[in-house]
Formats: sequence, C-alpha cells, structure tokens
Amino acid sequence: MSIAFKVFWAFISLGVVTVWGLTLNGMVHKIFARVQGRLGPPVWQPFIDIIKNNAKRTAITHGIMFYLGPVFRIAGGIGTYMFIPVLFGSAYFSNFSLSGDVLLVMYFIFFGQLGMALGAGEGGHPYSAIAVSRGLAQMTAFEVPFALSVISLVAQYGTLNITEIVAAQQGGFLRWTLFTNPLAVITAMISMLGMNMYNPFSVVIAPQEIPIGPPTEYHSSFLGMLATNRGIFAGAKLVLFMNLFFGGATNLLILMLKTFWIYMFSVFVGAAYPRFRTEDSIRFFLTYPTILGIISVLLFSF
Amino acid sequence: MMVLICGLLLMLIGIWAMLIKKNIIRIIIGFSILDTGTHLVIVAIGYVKHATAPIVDKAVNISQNAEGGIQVLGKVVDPVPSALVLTAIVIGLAVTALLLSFAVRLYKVGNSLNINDYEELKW
Amino acid sequence: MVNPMLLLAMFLITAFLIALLDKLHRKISIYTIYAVLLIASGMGFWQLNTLLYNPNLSVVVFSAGFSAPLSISLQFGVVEAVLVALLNLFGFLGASYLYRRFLQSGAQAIALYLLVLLGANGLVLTRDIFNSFVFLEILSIATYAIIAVDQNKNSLVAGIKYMLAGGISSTLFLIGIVLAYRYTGTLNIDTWLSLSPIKTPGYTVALFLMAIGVFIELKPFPANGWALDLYQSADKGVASLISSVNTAAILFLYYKLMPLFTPALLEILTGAGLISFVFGNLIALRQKNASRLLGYSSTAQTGLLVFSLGALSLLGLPQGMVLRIALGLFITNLFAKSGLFWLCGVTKRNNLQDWSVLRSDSGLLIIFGIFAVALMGFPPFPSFFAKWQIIQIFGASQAWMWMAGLLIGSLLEVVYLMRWLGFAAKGESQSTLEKPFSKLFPLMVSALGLASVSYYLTLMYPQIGTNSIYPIMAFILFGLIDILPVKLKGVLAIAALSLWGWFVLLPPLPLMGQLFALILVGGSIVQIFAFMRYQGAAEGFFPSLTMLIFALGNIVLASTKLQFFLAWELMTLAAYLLILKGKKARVAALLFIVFSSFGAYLMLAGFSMMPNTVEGYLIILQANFMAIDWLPALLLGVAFLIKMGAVGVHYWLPAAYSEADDETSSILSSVLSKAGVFGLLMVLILISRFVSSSSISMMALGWIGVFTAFFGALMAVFQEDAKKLLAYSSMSQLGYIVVGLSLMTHLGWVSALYLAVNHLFFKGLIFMAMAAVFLRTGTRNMYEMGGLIKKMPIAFISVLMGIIAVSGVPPLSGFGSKWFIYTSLLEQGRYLQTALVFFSSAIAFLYLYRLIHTVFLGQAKPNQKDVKEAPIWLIIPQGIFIMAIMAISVFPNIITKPLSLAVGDYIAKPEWLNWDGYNLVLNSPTLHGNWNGNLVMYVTMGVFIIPLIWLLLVNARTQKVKQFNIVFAAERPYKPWTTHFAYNMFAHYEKALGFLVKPRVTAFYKGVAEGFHSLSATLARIYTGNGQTYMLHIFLYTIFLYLLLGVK
Repeated sequence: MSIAFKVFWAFISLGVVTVWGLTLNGMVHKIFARVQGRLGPPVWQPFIDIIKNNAKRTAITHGIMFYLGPVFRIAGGIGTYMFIPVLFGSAYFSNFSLSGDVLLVMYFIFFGQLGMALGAGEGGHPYSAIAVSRGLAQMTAFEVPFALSVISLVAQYGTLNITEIVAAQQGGFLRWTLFTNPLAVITAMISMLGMNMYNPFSVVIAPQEIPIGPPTEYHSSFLGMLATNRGIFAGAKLVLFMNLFFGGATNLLILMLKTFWIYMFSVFVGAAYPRFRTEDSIRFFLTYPTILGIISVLLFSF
Repeated sequence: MMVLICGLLLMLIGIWAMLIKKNIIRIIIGFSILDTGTHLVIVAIGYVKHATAPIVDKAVNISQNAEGGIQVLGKVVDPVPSALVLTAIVIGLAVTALLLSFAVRLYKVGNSLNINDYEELKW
Repeated sequence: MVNPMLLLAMFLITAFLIALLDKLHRKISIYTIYAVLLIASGMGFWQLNTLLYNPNLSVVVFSAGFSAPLSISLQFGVVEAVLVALLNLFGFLGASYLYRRFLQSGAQAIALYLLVLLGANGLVLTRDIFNSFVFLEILSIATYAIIAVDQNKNSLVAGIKYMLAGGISSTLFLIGIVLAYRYTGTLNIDTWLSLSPIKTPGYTVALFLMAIGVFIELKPFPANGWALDLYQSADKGVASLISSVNTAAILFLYYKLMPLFTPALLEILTGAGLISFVFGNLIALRQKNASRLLGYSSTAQTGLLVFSLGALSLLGLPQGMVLRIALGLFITNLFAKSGLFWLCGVTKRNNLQDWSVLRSDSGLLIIFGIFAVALMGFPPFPSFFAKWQIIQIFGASQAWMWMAGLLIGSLLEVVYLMRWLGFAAKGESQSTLEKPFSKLFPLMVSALGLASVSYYLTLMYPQIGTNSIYPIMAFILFGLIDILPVKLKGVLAIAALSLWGWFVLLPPLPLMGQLFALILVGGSIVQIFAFMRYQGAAEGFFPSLTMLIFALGNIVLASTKLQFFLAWELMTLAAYLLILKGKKARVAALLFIVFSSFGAYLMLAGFSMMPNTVEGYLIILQANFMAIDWLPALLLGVAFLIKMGAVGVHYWLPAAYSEADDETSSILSSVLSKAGVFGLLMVLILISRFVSSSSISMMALGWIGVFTAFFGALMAVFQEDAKKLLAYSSMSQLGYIVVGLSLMTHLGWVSALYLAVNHLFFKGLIFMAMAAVFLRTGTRNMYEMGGLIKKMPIAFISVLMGIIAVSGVPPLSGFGSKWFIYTSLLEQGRYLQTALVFFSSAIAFLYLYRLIHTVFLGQAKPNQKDVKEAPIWLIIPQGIFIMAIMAISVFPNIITKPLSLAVGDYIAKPEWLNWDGYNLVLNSPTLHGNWNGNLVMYVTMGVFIIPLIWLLLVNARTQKVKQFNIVFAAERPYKPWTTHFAYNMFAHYEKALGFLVKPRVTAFYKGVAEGFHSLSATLARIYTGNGQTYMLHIFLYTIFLYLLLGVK
C-alpha cells in the first residue's frame, strides 16, 4: 500500500473513531444525567460544543506552551490511535500500527498528557497544576496493574504486537483473553477506571464542583480541540482494550458494540460509586488490582 | 645464683615502685632500682661458677702458644657482660639524671610531684 | 666507598665543636649543623650512587682493625645508604624548621639535635647488637633532652612518660641482648644470622625480650600512650623528628633483628603491627586535636610498616621485594608525616576545624593536600604502589585476614584525613598566618620532593605505560597555567583532550571500548565549554578536570589491572577535588571520597584474586578469554555499583551531585557514573561463562537495579531542591542500566548501553540548562522559581527535550531505551522486574513534571523579573546534546546498530533480532515486538503539525495576556507565592507511598558512623593520661605477647 493511500485510510479511520468517540461521550453524559435524575443534554451535545467553541472569535493565550498544549493533547490522542490496528485483518483500518508494538501505544498516551500538563502549567492557574499533580500521581498508580496485565498477556501470547495478540484470540469468543486470562482482564478493567477518570477516581478533574483540571484556563478553539480529543482518545483507548482483551473486531459494527460495552463498564461503576481521595486511589490501585495482576503474571510465567 | 635472684627481686621491687608510687621522685627511684636489678641480672648471666676475673694475672692459668699468643687454660668469667654492664650503668645514670632534672622542672611549673596531677594530655 | 665511621665521627666532633662555635656566633653553629647534615645526606646519596655502579662492592667496615665478631662492624649497603641519605635530609629539613628555636636555645639544643641524628645514623649503620643498644640510648637520651627545650608543663610530663617507657623498653632490650649473648657467644648480628637456629626456649625468650624492647619503642597500640602525649605536646619540629628520623632508625633496627625471630614470634609482632594500624586509625577517627591526631596516625603508620615487613617476610617474599614495598610506604610516611607535623607548627591551630586558616593560603593548602592524599595511598604516591603490591601478594597467598585489616585501617585513615582536608579547604576563616621562611622551606622541599619522587616512580614503574602518566601530567601542567584566563584554558583543554582522544585513545580500542571512550571522554569534552562561563582565571577547575578526563580515558584503555586501578583512583581523586570546589561541599565531598575509597578497596581486594592480565592487550579484550571466581566478581561488582550509586550504597550520591558546582554535577552524573557501568560490564564479561540471565546472582543484580530505579525515582519525587531531584533521577536511570546488564543477553546489554548513551545526552542537557537557571536565579529550590519560560526559553526547550527523553515519551530517543529495557526483560521472562521498572518509569513523570512546571511554568516571581538567558558557554553543550538527541531519535539506527555490533563481540546477536530498514524487529521464541523509531517520528510530526495548522487557522489572532490573568474562586490572585503551585507538590503521593522512602539508609550509615566514633571514643579512654597507667600498659602488653608466644 502506498504511503499516500495509507495516510488517506488513516484519515478515514480517524474520522470514524472521532465520531464514534464523541457519540459515546454524549451517551455517557445522558446516562449519568438519568442516573442522577436529570434530563441531560442530547447525545449530539459534544458535536455542538465543538462547533460552538471553534466558532468563538476571541481568544487569549498565556504563552507559546499554553498555545501548544491542546495541540500536544490532540496529537497524543491521534498518535495513540494511529499506532493501534483498528480492525483485525483489514488493510485499510490498520493505521500506522507497524511503527511499533503495544509498548509504543502505552507510552504515546503520555505524549498528550505531558504536553497538555505543560500547556496548562503555563496558564499559571493553580487548579491546573493541582489537577496535574493529582492526575499524574493517580496515573503512576493505575499504570502498575495495567502494565501487569499487559505483561500477563506477553507471558500468555509471547508477543507485544497488538495484531498478533488479536490474532491469537480469533476463533470463537472463548478464545478471548477475557476467558483465557480473566485475572489480567479484571486487572486491566480496574485500571481503566482510573484512566477514564470517572468515579471513584474522578478527583483529578472533579467534574461536579469548581472547574479543576488542566483545561481550567482553556476556552474557544483550544477547548474545542480538547473536546475533539476526548472523543478520539476515548475511542483509541477502547479500541486498545478491545484488541488486547476482547478479541478485537473484524468490522466496524462489532467494534462499536464491543467498545460501547467496555466503556459502559467504567460508566456504570462511575455512576454508582463515590469518590476516592488521591492517596486513597493510589493505595487502592497498588493493592488489590496489583495483587491480582501479579497473580495473573505468575500463573502464566510458570 | 644468689646474684641472679637478688637482681630479679630488685627488678620486681623497682617495677612495683614504678607502678604503685604516686610521687614522681619515688617512681624515678623505682626506675633506678629496676636498673640496678637489671645490671645484677646481666652480671649473673655472664658469671661462670668457680672462675676468676677475666684479668690476665697470676690468678689465671695461662700459657703461651706457638705463635706467641696467650691461651687461657683456667676458667674465667665472661668479660663481655661485665663490659656491657659498665656501659649500661653509665646510660642508666644519664637517664636517671635526666629524669630527675625533668622532675625538678616539672615541680617548678606544676607545683606538684604527684603523677596523678599531670593528666591533662589524654584520649 | 664512603667510610661510615667518618659519618659518625663527623657528627660527634661537630656536636662537641658546637659549644665553641656557638660562642663565636649563634648563626655559625646553626649553619654548621646544616652543612654537616647535608654532607651526611650527601654521603648517603654518594654511597648509593657508588653502589649502583658497583653492586659487588664490600659494604661492611670493621672498627679497631679487627674483623667481626671481635670488633664492631658497620654496614653501609644500599638500604643503609638510602636511609642515611633520607634521614639526614630530613634532619636538615627539620633543623631548618627549628631555626628560630635554635636561635633562642643555643648550643645545647643544637648539639642535642646532632646527637639525635648521630644515634639514628649509628642505629642504621651498626651490625652489632650491643652497639645498637648504645646508639638507641644515645638517640633516646638526646631525644628526651631535646624535648625539654620546650619547657612547658605538658611537654615535661610527656617527656617523663616517654623516659619511663623508654627506660622499661631498653631494660627489656638489654636483658634480651645479654641472654642472647649467653646462647650465641657473640654480639654480632651477622654472626647470629649465620648460626643455625638455636631451638632452646631460653634463646627464644632472649629474642622475645630484644624484640619487645625494640617493638615498644615503635609505639604499638595500646602500649603507646606515652608516645601520643609526646606527639601532642612536644614542639612540632621535635615531634616531626621523632615521628620520622627516630622512628625510622628504630624501625630499621627492628628490621635487622627480624630474620632472627622464630616464625611464631614474627607472626605475633606482625599481628600486633596490624592491630596498631587498625586501632591507631580507629582512635584517630574522633580526634579533634591536630597534633594528637597526627600522633595516632603516626603510630598507625609505624604499625603498618612493621606489619608489612613482617607479613611479606612471613609469606617468603625475597627481601629485595619486601624492602622495596616497605620503602614505598616508608618514604610516603616520612615526607608526609614530617610535613604534616611542620604544617601543624606553621598553622599553630590545634582544633582541626580551625585549619580553615589554610583556605586563604592556597600554597599551603596544596602542600597539605599533597601530604594528606599521599598518606592515604592515592596515586601517584609511592604508598599507592606499595599498598597495591601488598594487597596483590595477600590475594595471591590468600591472606584474607591481613588484607581485611589493612583495608579497614586504610579506610578509617581516609575518613579522618579527608575530613581534616575538608575543614582546611572549606572552612570559614579570614585570619592570616605568620609564615617564616625557615618553616616554609622544609614544607616546600618535602612536598616538592614527595611529588617528584612520585612522578618519577609512576613514570618508571613497570607495567604502567606512558598513558597512565597523562592524567598526572595534565594536573601538573594545568596547575602551572592555572592563572591564565579560563577561556584560554578551556580551549587548550578541549584541544589537548580531543587530539589525545582521536589519535591515542580511539585507534587501539575495539568497538565497545570506542563507545565508552566516546561516552566518557567525548561526553566530558563537550561539557568543558560550561566551565568556560567563569570570569577571569577560575582557578582550581582545570587541573582536576583534565586529570579526570584523561583518567576516564585510561580506564577504558587499561591493559593491566594496575593501569585500571591507577586510572580509577586518579579519576576518584580528581572527582573529589572537583566536588570540593562546591561552596558547601565539605560533607558531600567527604562522603564521596569515603564511599569511593570503600569501593576502591573492595576493587583492590577483588583484583588481587583475579588472574593477571597481559600488558599491552586491553582488558576489555582480554576479558573475553578470562574468567574470574565469584568472590572477586562480587567484590568488583559492588565496587562498581557504589560508583553507580546503587540502592543501599547510594548515600553519597545525592549529596555529592547536589553540592558540587553545577558543571561538575553534570559531569558526575552524565559521565562519571558511566565509568561504573564500564566496570560492571567488564565484570559481567569476565563471569559471562558461568552465569546466565536466570542465575540467582543475575536475578539478584537485576533486583538491585530495579530497586535502585524505583527508590531513586520515588525519592526524586519528594525533593524541593532541583539538583537533589536530578541526582536521584540519575540514580534511578543508572538502576535501569544495571537491570539491562544483569540480563546477560545481547538485547539486555544493548538496552543498557543505549540507556547509557541516552542518559549522557539528556542528563547532561538538563544539568546544563538547570545550571543556567541556578546561575541566574541564585537558588536551587524549585518553589522559589516559576514562570521562567519567558525569561529563559532556551533553557526551557532544553529541559523540555530532556524530560521527554528521560520519561521515554515517543518520539524522542527516550522511548527507545524504554522499549529496549522492557523487551529485553520480557524476552527473558523477568515479568515482575518489568512491572517494577514500569512503575519507576511512571513515577519519573511526577518528578519531571515538577521540575519543568515549578521552574519554568506557573507564576513568575517578581524578584526574578530581570533574569536573563544563560551565557553562551552553557548553551553550547546544550545545543550539542539536543542535536545528538534529535539525531538518534530520527535515525535510531546510527546508535542501535553500532551498539549491537559492540555487544556482538561478547554476546552474539541472536538471529531473531533484525533491522528491516528502520524497523527493529524482534522475533524471539518468547517475545515478538517491533519499534520503528523513524516512522514514529514522522507520524508524530504529522499528527502534531496538522492540528497545529488547524489551530493557527481558526485561532490566529489570540490576545496575549499578562501574568495573573486568571480567575478562580471569584477573586483575582496577585501574589505569585500563593498562586504558584510548587511547594510539596506531591503531598498526596507522600501520604500514600512516603513510608517507602523514610531515610533508612541514612539512618543506617549515620548509625555506622556513630558506632565507629563511639568505639573510637571508648578505645581512646585507655589513654588516661596517667604515666603509671601507661607503664602498666607496657608491662601487660609485654606479658600478653609473651603468653601468646607461649614459651615455657
């Protein structure tokens, strides 16, 4: 496949995931609202927000890093997605997954977070920095069980290559990692709760109270870009989880189905539980899921 | 034998005095006694029973040998330890004198001859 | 040949004449003895010269026309000639030190001084035992008397104690002589030697008495209280005389008697010497009084000499060799110890802390440094070579206890001498010294003499090669031109080192060696630019810096163990001197040198158990064909881990890295730690035949590495001081390298080396950028900064690039190191280690964000509003490092392929590791994976640039706002101190995980130090200051040794 062709299909696939990710976000808002007894915004509200924000005419900036923050963020989201093969067996939806294996994806996630944190830092708002410090702290904690579950997969499948991991899960749903290595999947799903920053791990952005979090100072097209990324990034993470643990997908329909339910897991938990403090969530991630992860690694290393 | 025992006894007395007596002059006396005891011991070690002094005179039975050298036939006491003792006595004298002069000086500076009063330098 | 009789006669006659000459004029008598001493010394040299050309010359002279045993014979051989030359030289120097005292005290003192020298010379020359006794007494009585020249209470008391002790020991000696005479019938030592050994107990007792008589004069622990008081109270010139001339002569008497001793007796005395060495140094540890400390050190050094002579003879070494080794120790001690005593007299400071007066006097400070460093046995001083030889011999003959004792004693010595040096170099003082020429002259001569002896020794020493001398030459040359402007020196240093590196260093090296040469030497050369930022001459940097870099190169270039160790020690010394330049670096430098010395001694022990290497064939090449046992591997491994700051032995690291000057910190962290990596790699190559990735030892090493990485990262998170943060970060990164090395696989080593190269780049980069920040803001506390991105954009970009590379975020080279380390660990099935490494890398984000946020982002402080960008000299290295990082990020092959080739010389590249263009493909049976750094870079650029263009299109006209244009809680903040979120940034993290980094290691080492000091203090209590107690010690000591000997 020529490089131009590849780029073209990458754009298509990016468009698909953006739309699907934003739709998912809209659904999540709706679900949360209903759980809390509200009517909630329409499902397409994220699209409206993005268009509105991009159409704003005035904007202020605190400096170059502040300006680049959202760019870093969305580049992180797109990049992460670009390194994941989306549909198993499809030459069109494999993006640039040849660039590297799951390690690359795991580390590219940090690209956007780091850039965003720096941009927010230049804004000079203490809430941004506080949220970053909380978010980073929590991130170090949930990465441990997640890494353990990936290591467990390596022990199981002998590969870091996402396509190969998906290939090993083909042939009936019983061959999904969910069933062949349930401990690793449980571990990974718990750490995904942290990644998605819904309750009980929402102290980072504290969505219900005062606006806290890196986007505190962002507005207009900056915010639009960040909102777009929310869709892309959510989609990328879901596709990654689907590939690693739920047998991947061979067409877009299955992809939507699977990613929806994976997402719903953290949404349901998030809707049902109260919030941890940062140190509590660190302790939580480093105890139960970590122990589960170690067990799952040990099970497959002997 | 008596001399040896006396010498050893004197040495012990000297050591005792050096270790027990607090007055510096007495310690020096102890040292002097130790020294004397040592000299006695040395002489006793060199002594040969029933022998005369190693001086070539009538008391020693001597004969001329072929080359004209003197050959001692009778028993004489080994002259070397006695010679050593002479040197040792001189040295002991010097040390004792020096010690005493130090003691005098010390008394002038410190107004005391008790060795326990001079413990400033320690640890 | 010179007739030694003339020598003695000359002393005697002059001593009598002095009284007359002194009547003419005081100065005449003084200059007369100077002449006499110089002539005597010259006679020694002349005799040495004669003997060098005429080795078979008869060297024994008989008195009174008879031959021995009927007469007294004197021997004037090579050893005697050396001693006569040196003792009289030091007699002369001591006399010139005492010039003023002689002027006051007159003829008596001068005559007594000559008599001391007469006694010493006679003691050296005579071969008759009773004659020895006489000379010993002349020496002693003259010494007693000369002490009284200084008539204060303390010296009089000390004199009495000394005389009583001397009296007892000479009594024992005398009885021993007569008893021995009774069994042998002669007083001539040579005749005794020629007799077949007499086995009767009586003779043994006689020997014991003689030996103990001499031995007590050598001030063995604990029967040496009198000597310590003497050293403390006597005039420093006299103390110096006693510690050098007096001790040397008696020691030589001991050496002459040594062949007579039964092995059992020799063993006991040798052991006693070792105990004296160890305990002397132990008690010196808590001394605050300089003279008394020197006293302890002096007794320890004498103990060391007794021990070395005895131990080497017991091991059956040829006497020539024993003497040569002992001479190395002896000469160092002679020069250094007398020099230190004289220096005590010049400073007139008793409290060690007051020695900071030397700070204002760099000449004296250098002299002090030379003496202290020589005494500790650092190269290039003779004691270094002597200790090296001794340890090698002990290793070969498996004398472990002796080796342990020697090394422990030496380490204690390093602690107190370096602490003292630290006080002198770093204390606070404004007062000036009175420096009469008569007192300076001997100091300068002995320092210069010691330095030149050492220089020529190193030059002539076999198996060293010319390369090894370069660091020393660089030190001297740059020391001489240290007054030139720093820019010129920088250019000279860069030129010299580059030429040397290119034409001498690189050509003979294999790929692996070249790699390390580039890291160590190349990495350092780049950072020399940073030193050129100083104004004026900036004295003190370049000698150590160039020595350091040459030594680093020599480590790689070494072909023998000695070359390696020599270079290693020079490197340590140079690094110490550089660290000591830091403003508050006294304690940090001490920690560094103590830990380094500990490591060096382990290395020394390890080397002694390792087979010899072939000269001229690089160690890293030989390592492939050699193998060493587990014990030397362990010792060497620990030694190198100390240098890398592995967890548990990292205690020195944060202090040294943070308190050194910023440029030095950068070199320490980015370059010097790689010397440890090189060493560890060498050890692993040496044991590669016995161990594999799954060996317990390698698993353990892996865990050490992982925990180093983990705890380093975690401790970095909680630092407020940016340099401490970077120091812990370095420790953490070195931990990854250790893990990689522990894998013993091709991939593992490639990952370790990749990390090493990468760490050089990014840590050098960050340190340089932060150096600029510290320079401009004048603080290292991150919370005192903020918003510097606008003032120092270049520093910000450097730090940004640096932290991206550290954290491993793609697309920069850091991701490569992460990819390598994870895949190599996973490939070997080390899953749990992988997980912890992952955790550590995640923690790295915390401290990296803190570094960049609190310094460059957030709210700017008003007091830093005039901060400017860094000087160009700090930006040059940053530019070079950024270019290097970019190059290996875009084109990873330029580094990964050579690394693989270099490692391939030792561990063959597996077939499943391949490069498909820029795609690095891993297809091992246990792990598949790939990484295309080039493509990642382009994709990243693409996904970054497209949104950027979009943003520029829709949001081109943004309005720039001023600081504080933020709103929260319905207020507008106006104080940056309350708005800048920086202090204790990760409080929540500390709540959750802080318990892991409670300072346990600190507590442990504090405890160890405390323990040693308490022990030292407790032991020192035996020296009650009471003369009778001291006599009791002597008697009990004699009885104890006698019982140990067990003759009935």
